[in-house]
Amino acid sequence: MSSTTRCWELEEAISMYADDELPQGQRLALEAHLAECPHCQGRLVRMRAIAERIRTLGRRSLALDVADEVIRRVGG
Amino acid sequence: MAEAGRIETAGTEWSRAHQEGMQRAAAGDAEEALRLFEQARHAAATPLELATTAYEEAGVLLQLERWQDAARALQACLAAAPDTPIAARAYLALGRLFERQGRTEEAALAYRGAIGSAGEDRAVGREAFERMSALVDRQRTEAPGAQEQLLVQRIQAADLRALRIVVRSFQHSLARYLALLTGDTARAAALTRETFVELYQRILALEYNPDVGLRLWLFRLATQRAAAPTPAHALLRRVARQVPLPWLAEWLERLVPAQPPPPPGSGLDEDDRLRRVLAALPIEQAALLLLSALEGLRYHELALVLDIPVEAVPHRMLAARQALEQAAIAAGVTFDPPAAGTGQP
Repeated sequence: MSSTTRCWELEEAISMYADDELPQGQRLALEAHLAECPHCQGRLVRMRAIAERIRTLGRRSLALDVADEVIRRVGG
Repeated sequence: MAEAGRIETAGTEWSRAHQEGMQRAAAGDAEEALRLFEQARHAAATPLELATTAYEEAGVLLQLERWQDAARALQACLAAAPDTPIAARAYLALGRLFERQGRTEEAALAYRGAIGSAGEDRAVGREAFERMSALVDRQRTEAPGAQEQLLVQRIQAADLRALRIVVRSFQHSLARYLALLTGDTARAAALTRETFVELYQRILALEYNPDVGLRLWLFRLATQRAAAPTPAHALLRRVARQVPLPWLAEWLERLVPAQPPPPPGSGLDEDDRLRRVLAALPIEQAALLLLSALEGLRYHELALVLDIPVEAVPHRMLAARQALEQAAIAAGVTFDPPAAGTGQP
């Protein structure tokens, strides 16, 4: 990240970093920026918190067994 | 993961936070354990202390099924103290994690690392060797996806027991995804059934593509079904098309919203409000967020499931995150993490 890079320009890179999809070169540069920028650190924490909340919702999953019905529907 | 890399530093700030973190982890208080490990990381005075803390942190993250964060913690452990017994344990844990994700080549590399760093820790060396041997044997005897292809062939030969295996393997994750995507558990159950019936018909029509695989194919079919208009929407659209006034057509469309996000103070708890917010997002945005968080799909897999160019995924994922955040704030849902700094790079 150059010294003139603005935090809002890094939103997509932070989003990719949160998903472990940022290429290695950009990853190192972003990590250097994150180490110095509380705002971008906060964005990363927020993005990870959202994913975690979704996982928490998913853990209370819908318990169902549709196997018999599917087999019946396809003529078994 | 307790007992790994015990270090004689009793009485230090690191030692206190680390020990308390292990106690909280053993008591099942994961969030508090992570907070204490975070403290311990900051207080670590040596690479070995840093590595030991990262390793214990990974154990908690694995229990929480936060796979990416766990992998990151294990890699931090390896970076802090390579070629040490704690690194051997981290390699082993990383190998198990990769194996679970089907990343067999990376798993084999991690097991090799564990064997190389195990030194006197024979138990770790032995487990890594056994796991690597089993992996190599499996790779030799089974082409990738061979088991799945066998199931598909059995279904094509009208063996419904194979279809039952496929349904039982994927129904929970599919239903969970559809319930959050649509915000309607009854509809999610119906869509789950219909998706498997469609899968069966398409397998019989020889449309199975081993490069895509059953799992991604199922999520693709399920998303397409969830995106299809409901009968009420379809009827409304037919009426709207016959109305020559665009504003009236638009107004008619709005008569059947997916499920509007609830206002704060609507009597729903935060989880229910977040469910409603998710279900009210455009379906592609909700699908991106859900498939990434719940299923851990990579960007190239998301592109395949949602039929969008892979290079469009980063931008659309960010847009989805921003849309969810905005709608959630409007609905009074907060995402403040329980402990400060858990997202340190």
